[in-house]
Amino acid sequence: MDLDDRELLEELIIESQEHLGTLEPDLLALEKGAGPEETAELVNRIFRGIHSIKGGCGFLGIAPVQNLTHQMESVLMKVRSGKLSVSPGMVDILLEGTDRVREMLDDVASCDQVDASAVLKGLEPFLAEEAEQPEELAEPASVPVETEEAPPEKARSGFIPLGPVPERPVAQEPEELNPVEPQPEVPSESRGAVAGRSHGHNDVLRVKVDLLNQLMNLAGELVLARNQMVQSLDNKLADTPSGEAIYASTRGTLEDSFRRVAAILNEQRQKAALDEETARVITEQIQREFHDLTEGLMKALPNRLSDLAGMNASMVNIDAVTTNLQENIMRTRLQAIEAVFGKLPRQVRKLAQQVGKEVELVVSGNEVELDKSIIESLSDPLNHLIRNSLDHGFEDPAGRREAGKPVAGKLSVRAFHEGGQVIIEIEDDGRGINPEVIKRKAVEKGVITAAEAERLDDRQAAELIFAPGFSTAEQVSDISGRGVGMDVVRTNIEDLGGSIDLDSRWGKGTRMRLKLPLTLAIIPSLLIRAGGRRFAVPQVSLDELVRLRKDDPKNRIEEVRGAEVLRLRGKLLPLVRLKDLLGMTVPENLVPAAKESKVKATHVLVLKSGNNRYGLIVDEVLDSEEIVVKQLPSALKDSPCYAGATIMGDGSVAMILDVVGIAEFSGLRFIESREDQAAEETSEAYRDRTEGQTLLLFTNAEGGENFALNLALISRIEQVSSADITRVGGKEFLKYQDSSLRLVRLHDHMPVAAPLHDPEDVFIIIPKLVKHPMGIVAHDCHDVITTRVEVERDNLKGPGVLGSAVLEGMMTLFLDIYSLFEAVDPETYRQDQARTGSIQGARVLLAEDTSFFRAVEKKYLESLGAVVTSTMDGKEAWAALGHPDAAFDLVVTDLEMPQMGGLELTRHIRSSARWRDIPVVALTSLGSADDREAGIEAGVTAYETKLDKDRLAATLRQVMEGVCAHA
Amino acid sequence: MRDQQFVSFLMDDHLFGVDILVVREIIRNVVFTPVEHAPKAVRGLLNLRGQIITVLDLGPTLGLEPRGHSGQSRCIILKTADETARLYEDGIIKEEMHTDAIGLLVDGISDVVKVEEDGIDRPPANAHGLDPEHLSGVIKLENKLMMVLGLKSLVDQGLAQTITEQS
Repeated sequence: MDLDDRELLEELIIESQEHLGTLEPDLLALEKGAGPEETAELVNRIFRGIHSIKGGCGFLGIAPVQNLTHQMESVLMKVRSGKLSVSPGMVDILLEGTDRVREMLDDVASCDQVDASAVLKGLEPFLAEEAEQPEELAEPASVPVETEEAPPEKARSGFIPLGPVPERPVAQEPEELNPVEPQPEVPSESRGAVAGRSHGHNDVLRVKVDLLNQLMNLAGELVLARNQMVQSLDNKLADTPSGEAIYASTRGTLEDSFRRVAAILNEQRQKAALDEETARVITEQIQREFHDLTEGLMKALPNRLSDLAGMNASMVNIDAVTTNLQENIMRTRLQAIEAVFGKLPRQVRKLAQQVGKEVELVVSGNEVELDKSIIESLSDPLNHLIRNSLDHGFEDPAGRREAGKPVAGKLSVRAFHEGGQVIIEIEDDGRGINPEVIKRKAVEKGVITAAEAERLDDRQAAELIFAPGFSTAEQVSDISGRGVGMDVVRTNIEDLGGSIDLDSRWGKGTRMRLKLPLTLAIIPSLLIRAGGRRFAVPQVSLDELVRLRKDDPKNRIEEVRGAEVLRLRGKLLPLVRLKDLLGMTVPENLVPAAKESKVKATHVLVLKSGNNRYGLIVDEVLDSEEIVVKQLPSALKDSPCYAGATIMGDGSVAMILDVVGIAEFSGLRFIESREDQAAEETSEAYRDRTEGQTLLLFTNAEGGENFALNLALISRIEQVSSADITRVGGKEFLKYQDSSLRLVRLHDHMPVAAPLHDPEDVFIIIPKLVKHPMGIVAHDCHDVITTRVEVERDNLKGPGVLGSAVLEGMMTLFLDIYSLFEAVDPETYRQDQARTGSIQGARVLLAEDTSFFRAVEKKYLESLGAVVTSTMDGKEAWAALGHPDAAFDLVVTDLEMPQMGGLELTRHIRSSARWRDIPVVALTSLGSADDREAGIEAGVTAYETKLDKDRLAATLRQVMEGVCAHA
Repeated sequence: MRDQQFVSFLMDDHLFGVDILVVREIIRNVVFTPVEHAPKAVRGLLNLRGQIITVLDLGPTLGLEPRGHSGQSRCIILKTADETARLYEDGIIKEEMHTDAIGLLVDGISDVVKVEEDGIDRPPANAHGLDPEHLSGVIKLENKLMMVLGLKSLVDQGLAQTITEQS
């Protein structure tokens, strides 16, 4: 094959691929059905696409493609002439045909290796029907024969002399010359449509990606050069003293030397007996010289300085041009996301068939553009998410009918711009993610412990699907979970400098939100210094900067089990010291001496790694700068801590830190697990931490009272329209998860203000850990805060009130849902209470360190009729038991407490002669088997979960009646 | 018979040579950024007109001490596999070069030595304590021996060893 042919072939392949790209969606649209006109146009377009491929391949002698496309074309011809109607089976086989053609064209040299026999065979029945009606066929079939032969001939004669000139003639000439087009206006119309769709109205030129990459590199160089110039100019301007200062100092020096010269002259005159006149003349000459010199200097200096100033102006210019140039070149690398989205209809169709579900795909934002390299890497994660939706997201048709949803599921894929980034949303209206199932699985798979699971809210639980090790072989089905987990999807997206968010509502659907940068080549970054060296941190991973003063008594760096952590707004962040991480030695003498910063403060970069955050301690925080990302040399590809390298304004190389890699390399354990560890510790730090509680703040009415409810007590918060609330017999209900949920308006049962009017939307807070849940109607849920607060219990009393406190400057009522629900629905709740008689009058010793829980538990116990003595920890409880007058029937203790924990307390109790038979009920938020075993060993009588009043009551009753053996 | 030219350079007291055809340039002002968590031979990265060069000290791989730094220190920038593809295909150079741009840190540059092909001897079994595996030949000069480096095995091994393996 000579060079011309090689280039022709390249053109042909590119062109054919373009045709294949439009064939797929057109075929799918054809199957879906449309009006007769549209259908005709679709068929024509498909026909022409296949015909062009056939013509080109025939011309270059690529027989396998030619044969296959010929058969496909024949089928379409019959459709076009109305001899055949479109059927899904036909579309299937044609799609398969396009696949084979694609495979063949992907590797033309060995295209005869592609087995198209199945497709050819599949096409036969459609062609065979042709034979049954030969008389009808004769006419249309005879004309196309001409088209098949003629256009390539034309192309050949018109083409070869031109050599490697464009592909257009191949595409257009056959069409223009095509004598069989039944409606002449259609081809021109649709040709316009084709051109318009892919290229707009501007002239288009194909440019090799290599060339673009080179241009991009050059633009990168220019950016660097600009940065260097700006820096050196800045230095120069800063170094240049003002004209006067130079003049003053120069003049001083000159005057000095003038005086010395004069003195020497005078001396010489006396020695050499110069006459006075000669001496005067010489002196005057020198004086004149001096004068000229200073004059000249004065003239020259401002010029030099204004040069610098002028340079500054042109610098601004260069700066602007460079930025512009770089942006424009970057834009040439942008590709419409259609390249990825275009494949979706086909994929969704196929997957839906496989899993036996009906799915309607809605794609928008095809025109949104992204860097080519990002588009290329987007395909896999996107496919995975789509597969996930199809496989796990959507219910089967029966399930959907049951859930009252339309049988066909709706899958929306959207792309749009937001804040300089591209957002891709994948949303389904399937069953959503059940947080409880996810938690259970995660615990089974050892991703988290049961204790951790208990602490997660629904959102955090759903996010577990991204945890490494969560999706494993167990989930493998045909469609998703082929050993590739969502953690890989997240990693892929993060490698692209993006992020992925999950929003799922159980029963309603799931939305994945991908955030992507426009390009990877140039990124905003923060420059920092550690160990005398500069590093760049991508801004996208940076959450915030924290500066800790060294002499600050509240230095918030603490140590937990030998690892440093930072307390930041109630959360604990694991810390990494960059210098230690890199094991950096003192800078070598080969490096320009870096100024060692006088460490007055500690700088912490709070970085995002997946769902987690950690702190990176650096010596110094420098500037924000747009940096050009350079690939790491292969020798450093395995280093976990670097994402790339870049060149600084002064020409030196700086490493770009890999935020996720560093977290993994350092083996950071994030807070959830860390808090567990710390739980056994009795340090002051621990005490602080455990007493914090996370509260939902809400109001009952516009301008009404402020309420707080512990988040641990809340199952869900739903926003509903007032219209969805039904009233039956003076009570309000909401249809919720296939049953009716009784609603409670706080002002009906508590002495608080009622809303003036009913708002359109209200929030329904659905509590958990109650036997008969009711939804609490809130006007507005305005915040979730984590705080340590002492609840004042005596100011306000009444049903539903636990106490009050000032939160965020507002008097806030702490809700007691148990007494509230008892007040709302006394019948149901009184029945339960009747069964708790045996606790009546029991003397209970309560040990609980967290003031909130202490208050709640005491209230529970008292409401059950017990007489409660509360203590702050095991030590205090033990002291209480040691009192000579002490009289208790039951000990209820928390497990994790400072000074002395629940287990130790139990051991003390069991080993004392006086108390060894007293029942001990342990309250825990942990529920794993290990804990129970340890508890049984220590002699705990029974376990119960904190905050679950009903079960606590039942357990206490059993314990008191001596029924309960070890749990 | 083809004359071969070698760039000769010093590491400690040894005179080494590399084929001039694989040398892109030699730079005097050796300022690089050290990199941690890198293979043993990697000393750092250097910016050469916008291209990132991996600076290697092959001394330890050859059995010498790590390079220090002096006014005579130079960095020999080697051509990449891409730049030398033709030379390699045509058999003019015997070894494929590395895909990355690599700079060799040396203690000083000496002359360019021109020799005929039969002027190159096989490396001795024990070349002054150097690992003969990494030498492709030896050239007798008037008063000294110049050892021709087998760059491929040397660079590959230098990049394969990590710091931790070393210590």
